[in-house]
Amino acid sequence: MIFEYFKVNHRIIRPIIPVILKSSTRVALYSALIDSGSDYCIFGLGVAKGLDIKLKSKNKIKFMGIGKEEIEGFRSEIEIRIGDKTYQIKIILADINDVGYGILGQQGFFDHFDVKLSYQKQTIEIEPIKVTN
Amino acid sequence: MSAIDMTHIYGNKNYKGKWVAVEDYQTNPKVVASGKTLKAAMEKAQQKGFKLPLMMQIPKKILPFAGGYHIITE
Repeated sequence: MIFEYFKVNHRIIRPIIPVILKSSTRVALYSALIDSGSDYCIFGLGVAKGLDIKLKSKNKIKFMGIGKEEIEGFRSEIEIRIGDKTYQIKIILADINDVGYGILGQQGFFDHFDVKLSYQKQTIEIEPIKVTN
Repeated sequence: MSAIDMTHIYGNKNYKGKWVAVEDYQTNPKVVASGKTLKAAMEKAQQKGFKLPLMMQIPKKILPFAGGYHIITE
C-alpha cells in the first residue's frame, strides 16, 4: 500500500496515513503519524471521548516524549484498519491533543508492517507482515 | 507522486484548535464540517451525508514536531 505524505505548511511534510478506528459503539477515519521513535501507538483523549472509550484508572501508565515532563496515559485496546488489514491494537490514550494526530509506534504498527518512507518521493509504502508473537 | 496539500486546512485560522471532517482527502481535500470535538464534527459531517470523512485535529500552532514517546512505568 502506498500513501502520500501530508503537507501541513510550506516547510513541513509529514508521514501521516489514514486509519480507521472502531470502538464498540463508533467508527472514525482518523489521521495518524508514523513515528518510529515511539514505543507504542498513542491517541489523544479527544479520540477516546469521540469513540466512547472508557478510561480505567487501573490501566494508567506514565511515559515521556522528547521533553522532560512525564505524561499520564491509559492503556486500552481497539480495532484498527490500515489499508486492507484489520486487527486489534493495544494503544495508549493520553493528552497529546496539541500534536493533532494519532501516533503509530513500534508496538502495534511497526510490528505489523514493513515500512518504507521516501521523503524525496513524498511517499509511504507499508506492507503487512506475518505477526509471530 | 507528491505530498497531499493540506496547507489550506492547517493554515485556516477558522479551524485552529478544532476538529475538521475532510472529504476527498487524497485528491482535493476539503473541509465539510468542523467542531470543538471529534464527535461534534463527525456528527455534523454525517448529517450532511458524509458517512466516513477523514477526521483531523488542527493544532493551534504548527510547530516542528520532535517525535518519540517512551514508557516510564509499565
